[in-house]
Amino acid sequence: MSNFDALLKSSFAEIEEPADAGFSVNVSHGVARVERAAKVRNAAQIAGVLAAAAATAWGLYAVAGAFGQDLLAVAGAEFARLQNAISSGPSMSAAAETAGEGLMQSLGLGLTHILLATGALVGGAVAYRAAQD
Amino acid sequence: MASRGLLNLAQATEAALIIAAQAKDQAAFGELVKRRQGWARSLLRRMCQSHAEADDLAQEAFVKAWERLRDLETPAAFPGWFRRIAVTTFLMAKRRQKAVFEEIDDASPIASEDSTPEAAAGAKIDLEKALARLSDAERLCVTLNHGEGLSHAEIVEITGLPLGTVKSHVLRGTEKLRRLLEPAT
Repeated sequence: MSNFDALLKSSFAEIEEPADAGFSVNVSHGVARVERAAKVRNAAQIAGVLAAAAATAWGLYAVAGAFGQDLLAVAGAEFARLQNAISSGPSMSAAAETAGEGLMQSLGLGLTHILLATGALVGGAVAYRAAQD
Repeated sequence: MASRGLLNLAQATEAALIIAAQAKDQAAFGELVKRRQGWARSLLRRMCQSHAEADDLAQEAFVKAWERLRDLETPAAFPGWFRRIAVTTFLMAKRRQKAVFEEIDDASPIASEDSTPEAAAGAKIDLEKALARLSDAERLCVTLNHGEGLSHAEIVEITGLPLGTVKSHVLRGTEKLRRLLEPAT
């Protein structure tokens, strides 16, 4: 090691700042700020998830109310058609077609609710992801 | 942790403080800051030209360390881990100021070389003043190489600069320091 290298090494070793109480206090304030922000973020995250869950539940309830009975009716008609097809050969049931049209109408009516529920789900997921980040 | 006395905190090993801080014990982290601030501030003061800026960056680095402390796998790795955070904080601040670290100017003189009384008189000056006359990139690489004992490869890893650039900054920075620090002949 040359004289200069030794000089450089010792010069670097000499510099060590003395402890400063003000510095520690500033850091602890910074840490407290971070913790407060984290608490707010967590609260927002929980609120977002709860809102999404409530909106989804409401959406599902509305959808079920709007065409749940139709769905059951169609399912029943389809079951009957299948049973009929098995027992009496290829005769298309007009009743099943009518039930299908009814379902489409119900779907149109329930579309708003579906969109609302999907929007709430996506919004909740985005809020959750943003809070995680 | 709330019942722990100040005496215990002061007597705790650094590893114990880090483990407690990882469990969100702010008092333990405060003690860790108290113990490590001298090193952290001097590291950043060597890299920055202004003491106030260095202290601001050191505070920012400690707050970042608090946020990421759970990522630290072993307490023994704390110095290297924190050094990386400090250097990243410094680089981000400099990049916000549009500082360029990748370019090497072969003709770059020592800043204010001819305008200072010490230089004019050929007097030996102290390290801090000498470092202040290097470019940001040279100061960073020289500090990490000579001050922190990192190899060129380690500096590449920590700064993201190309190896050739790091070698050049260290070489040129060291040469400038030699001219500034060695007594005039």
